[in-house]
Amino acid sequence: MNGSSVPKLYSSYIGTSPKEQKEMLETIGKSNIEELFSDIPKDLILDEFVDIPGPYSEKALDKLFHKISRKNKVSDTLSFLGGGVRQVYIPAFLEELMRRGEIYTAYTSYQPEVAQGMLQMVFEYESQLAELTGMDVINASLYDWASAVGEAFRMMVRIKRKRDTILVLNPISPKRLKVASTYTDGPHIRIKVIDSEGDIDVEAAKKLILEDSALDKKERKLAGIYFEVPTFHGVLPSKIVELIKVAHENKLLVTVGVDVISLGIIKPPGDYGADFVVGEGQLLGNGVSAGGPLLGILGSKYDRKWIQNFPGRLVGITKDERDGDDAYCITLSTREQHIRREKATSNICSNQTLMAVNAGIYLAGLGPKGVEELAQGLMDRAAYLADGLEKLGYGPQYKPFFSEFVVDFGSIDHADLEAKFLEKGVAPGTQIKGEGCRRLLAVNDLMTREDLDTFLEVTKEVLK
Amino acid sequence: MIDIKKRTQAKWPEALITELGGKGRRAFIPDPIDVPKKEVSSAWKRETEIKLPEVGELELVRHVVRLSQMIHGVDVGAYPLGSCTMKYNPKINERIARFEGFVMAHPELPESAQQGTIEVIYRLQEALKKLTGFHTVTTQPAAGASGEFAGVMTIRAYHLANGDTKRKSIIVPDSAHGTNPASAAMAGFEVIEIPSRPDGEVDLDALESVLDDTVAGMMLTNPNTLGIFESQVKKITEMVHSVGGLCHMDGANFNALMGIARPADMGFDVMHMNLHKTFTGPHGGGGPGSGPIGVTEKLAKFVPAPLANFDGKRYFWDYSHEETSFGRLHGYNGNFGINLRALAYIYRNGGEGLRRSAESAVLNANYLLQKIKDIRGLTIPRLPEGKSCMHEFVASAAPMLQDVHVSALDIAKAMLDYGVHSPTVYFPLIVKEAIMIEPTEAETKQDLDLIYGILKNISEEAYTDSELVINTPKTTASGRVDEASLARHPVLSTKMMK
Repeated sequence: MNGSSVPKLYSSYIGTSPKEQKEMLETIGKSNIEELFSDIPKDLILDEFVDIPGPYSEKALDKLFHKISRKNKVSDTLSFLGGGVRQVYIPAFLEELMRRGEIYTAYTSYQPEVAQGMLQMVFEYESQLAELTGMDVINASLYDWASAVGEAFRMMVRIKRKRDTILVLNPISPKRLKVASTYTDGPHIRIKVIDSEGDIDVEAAKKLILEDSALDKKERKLAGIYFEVPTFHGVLPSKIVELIKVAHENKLLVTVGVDVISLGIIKPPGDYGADFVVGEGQLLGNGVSAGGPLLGILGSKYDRKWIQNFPGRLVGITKDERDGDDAYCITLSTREQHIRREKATSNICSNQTLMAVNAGIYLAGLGPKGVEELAQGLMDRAAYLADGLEKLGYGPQYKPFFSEFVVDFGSIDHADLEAKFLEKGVAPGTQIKGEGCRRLLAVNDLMTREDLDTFLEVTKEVLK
Repeated sequence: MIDIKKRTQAKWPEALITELGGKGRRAFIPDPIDVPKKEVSSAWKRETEIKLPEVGELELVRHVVRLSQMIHGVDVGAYPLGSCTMKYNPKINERIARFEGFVMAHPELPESAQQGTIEVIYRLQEALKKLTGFHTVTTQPAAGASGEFAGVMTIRAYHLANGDTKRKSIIVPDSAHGTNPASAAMAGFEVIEIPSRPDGEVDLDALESVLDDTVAGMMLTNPNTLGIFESQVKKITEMVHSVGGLCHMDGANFNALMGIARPADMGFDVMHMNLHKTFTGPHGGGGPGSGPIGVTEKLAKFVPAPLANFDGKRYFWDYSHEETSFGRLHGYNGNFGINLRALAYIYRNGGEGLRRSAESAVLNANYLLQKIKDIRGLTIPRLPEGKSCMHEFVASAAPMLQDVHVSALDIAKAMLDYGVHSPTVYFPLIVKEAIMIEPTEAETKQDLDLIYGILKNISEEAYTDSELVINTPKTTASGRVDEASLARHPVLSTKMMK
């Protein structure tokens, strides 16, 4: 390549000017920058610039991406999509605070002396989530709900050592199940799924647990169980107290996946005896952002042995040795990859801290009353929508539900239904497998009564 | 001593949010909804009080702003944190990531309603393919470690698809990031650690001695964690290939190479990129990151589905290889918001701009390296005299520790008093009292001179009166914290404070 000996200032993101670069080269006794790359075999060095679009000016970039963003039918589409993530209203103060460079341009708080603000916010997130879920410990975040399920399965097996099987009570999201399978594939953890529609099948689970329990101690396989509240089909399941009792009597661990906002009015997992909780923190004021960045929540009741088996970072409160004040830092790091390497509880390093900070501010802004109202508002919207649909002959397949429910729209096919609804500015939920045209419909806190009525109107028009 | 000024970080005696506020105060009041109320059944009704803070909007805003003033970010000051590539996070990217069409887009919108999302991912896949030389790129891994896991799972799937079930181990040099062995172990592999040569590169004899047909592959960071390009990289990948193994490149240090050399040309079969390092995704206080992987053609069918694809008219999710894929890593599309920022950064620069950025990063590191060589008590043990480093280098404070009992940790803490972040210390593990410095291309010459001046000052203080360095930091929001007591008696939430 005809590389100039002194590069031009191509990008406003480069800190040194061409003149300075020349001086710096002189300081290090090199005549050009290419000399710094002399360790790279010549045949590996590209002789042309990589052929990618750009450079774009900032203004042109703004315009290009704005144009692309408008290809997503969002501003003129009512979204009844849920299944784990959903649109949320983001208060202005929250958006403003999250744009503070001190917060989003910091690295992990490995130097706690200059990261007290970040550490305190993470601790406040952990503490508020502990209150909301009824747990004692919440970690500093995992990638998303799905990966949190995978990590929880691995953790349950680690704690139970010789047992290698997790019992999953369907319905759970097929995507979460897939991710959990990937996470458990390497160490040969087995996932046994008990199929069911709407509600979970507690009797089948009990039977399997008791069968396993009857085996010789060395032969026992079951380490833990997992189910979701509400289930993937929206249902608040029945007989879970009985299920958890049987699981615990037979020395199994229990992980529950939750809709964290529902906990404003729904019993939290800590109150019905779950050992671990997982969930999706995107719902706590984080943009749905085409599916990421999300916020994997993982928490538990306090048990020293369990905590030593936790994946990911934990922030705790301690003392500033200089000033004697309260101070915060990352703790129990000997579980983590940078210290324990191949024996670490997880490989996770970068997590979703920024989303956790966002979630903490959002929850503090809502307060106890706000989170209750928000949850109640979702339940009311869903009930209203379901009642309206029932009158049109498309009632919810399973009850009772919180904010999402399954409807069978009959003989129309999914693609046809989606196209016809979209034409009228409505995204009609997600596809649920099974006979007919089953859709999982979800409400969100942006929706007004008029929006719900719009859905009913469109249903009437499309399916007339 | 050089006249380098200390600065005082803001220190607010900021109470926990749970201690602020007062009964009935609220910052965010959800809109009421004009539909009948639906009661929760008594079996499911929450009975325990929700002990969340009750604060007004202004006090919440002040709380967060004050806390933010007790955080050192790239926007605040120099951040020469080795292996983390703390470059500037362009503000236009923040604007773009918040466009309504992106931030409010549900990942399961019908394809026709999320053409923008798929187009962004498709364009990014294409750009990363060009930059790395690989056949296929997936953006599903949500962080570097997730990309490593994806890489070794891809390697695993390839061997299993060939009916080759005897490959049980992954080779990792002792200079590797901890995530490498952790990711390999997570995928079910045994980890074989091999030593590095004194000059920091892979020891080919050590590699040869562990190679056989039970090796699934090797993970190699290039440039390595000592900031040195593995000059024998092609030989290394050939050796691993010769016993049927595959090579994963850890792209944590790709900032030194972007637009200059392509990992696929070096013989790697798969690599992960850290978009939050090389391609300016903000680190967010610990995340989110994004760790796409690129793979050669023979591995393409094993990566997670779906990929973004384009048929000339419309963008679509391509699930065609799902059956052979090793599985899913994320509920949806990985950290789309970070991928979007990376694409904006790539387009803002173009091929030439990226190359100039990498060159400038390497120049900045070498300039600082040259200056630091004259500081008493610091050495550059793994870099032979006259050799250039890449985007970072590793100094050792072992002489200073021996002379005046001032450790790498003390130096790191002392630096904080000057308003810069400390380098990475005690990594890589193969350098005693390691101080790993990566200035990135974003820092100005004045900032580089400042970092040098601070280190020089600290050294002079250390050799004059070591207590001056050992009792630091003094002007930060907090002094050193009692980590040991916390590890013994963990207090991990306000609930556990009682």
